[in-house]
Amino acid sequence: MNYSWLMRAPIALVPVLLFLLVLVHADSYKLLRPRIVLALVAAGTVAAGASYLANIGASALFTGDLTLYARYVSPWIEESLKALVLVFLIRKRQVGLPVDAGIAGFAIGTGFALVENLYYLASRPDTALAVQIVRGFGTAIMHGGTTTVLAVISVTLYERRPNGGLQLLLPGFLAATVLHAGFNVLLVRPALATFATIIVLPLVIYLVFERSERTLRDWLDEDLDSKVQLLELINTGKFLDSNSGRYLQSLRERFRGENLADMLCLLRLHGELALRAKGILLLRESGIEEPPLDDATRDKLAELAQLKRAIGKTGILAVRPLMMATGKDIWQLKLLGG
Amino acid sequence: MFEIQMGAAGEVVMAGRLDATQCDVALRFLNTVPKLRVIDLGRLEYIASMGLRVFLLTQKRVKAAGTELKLINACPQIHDIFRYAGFDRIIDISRASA
Repeated sequence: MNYSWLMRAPIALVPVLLFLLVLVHADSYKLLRPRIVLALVAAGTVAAGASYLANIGASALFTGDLTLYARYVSPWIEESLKALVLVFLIRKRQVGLPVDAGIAGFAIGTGFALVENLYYLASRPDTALAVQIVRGFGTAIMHGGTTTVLAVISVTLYERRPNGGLQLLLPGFLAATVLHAGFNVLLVRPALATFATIIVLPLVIYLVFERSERTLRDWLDEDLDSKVQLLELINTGKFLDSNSGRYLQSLRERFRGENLADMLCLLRLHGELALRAKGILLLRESGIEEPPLDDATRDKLAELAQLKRAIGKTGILAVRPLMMATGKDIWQLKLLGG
Repeated sequence: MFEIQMGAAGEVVMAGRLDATQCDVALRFLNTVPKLRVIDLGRLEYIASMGLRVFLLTQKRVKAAGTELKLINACPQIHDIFRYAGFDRIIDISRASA
């Protein structure tokens, strides 16, 4: 039995897992289910495998010093591969807030770091303990942190411009890659790099989480009120006299009567489903197990999809100011579909 | 303005607006009621999302003690909020009779 390995493995693997557990626990609204987090960790391990192969190929082509390669080339490859899953999650609105996007990013980075550190443990069993400490507390947390940065920046930009293109991912990707490269440069003084990572990163993530939860709470309050008012107006027949109603009537010249009727149905249905989604968030925050999705809600989701098809893309764009102004408004319905 | 007090039949009576600023007051009061069963919402005019949380946390506490919370006399608007949010499947809530 190699006792040295038994001591080094936890140092290399446990800190990043603990960090991930703390993040999942810190999310009051339990936005990401444990099985999703595990799936993302698995996706990170796949990204690490792909990165290993890509780095072998790219380093063979690189003619300069391998230290330079590690500092300035491999961060681009590794961050790109970690980002792939995240791009899918963000574009498909599977994550919609800095908190869930941040946890998703850290989970992917965790999977990546676990494979990387296991590889180092297996291929360099005689490495000094200090190096394993740097890998466990520094490099591994850095991998989670950079993907978190990419996720948080991207989801914040998509919140402001829900229909923005892939270019909105660039600032987050650049920030993650620069941080990764900066860490690798700092590795000439490994204690400093590790210290900077374990002090700065938790602080930044804590601030992001706190701000995101406050924003979510405010949004819950404001949107709950506005949706209830909207439904009240529709249910009491006063909607057409409201500002929103007048806006809908102003679309008469561009859309047929039945399209306008469908739009009104869409508004009502979207309002009801948005309130149901908020109910799920409140249940999770209160630690109450949510009942399975009922048939009525499932029917409403199907009807919503059918109405969207009937109204068409142009119609949806026209009615969007009344129901789906931000990324969160679109994301929340995924809580019902998941 | 928000008021919370004990009613004559041992129920809790709420009145006014249960907004975010009043949630702590409401929760503190409800936590002091030992055998809480019924909350009369007859004079409650408004509820914010944080207010809904008060009822969820109270239901959780009451259920852990082996009973169920019952909300009575809710005005149509508040009843609808519970229904839309799906909380009528978690907490027994009834409308005020017309």
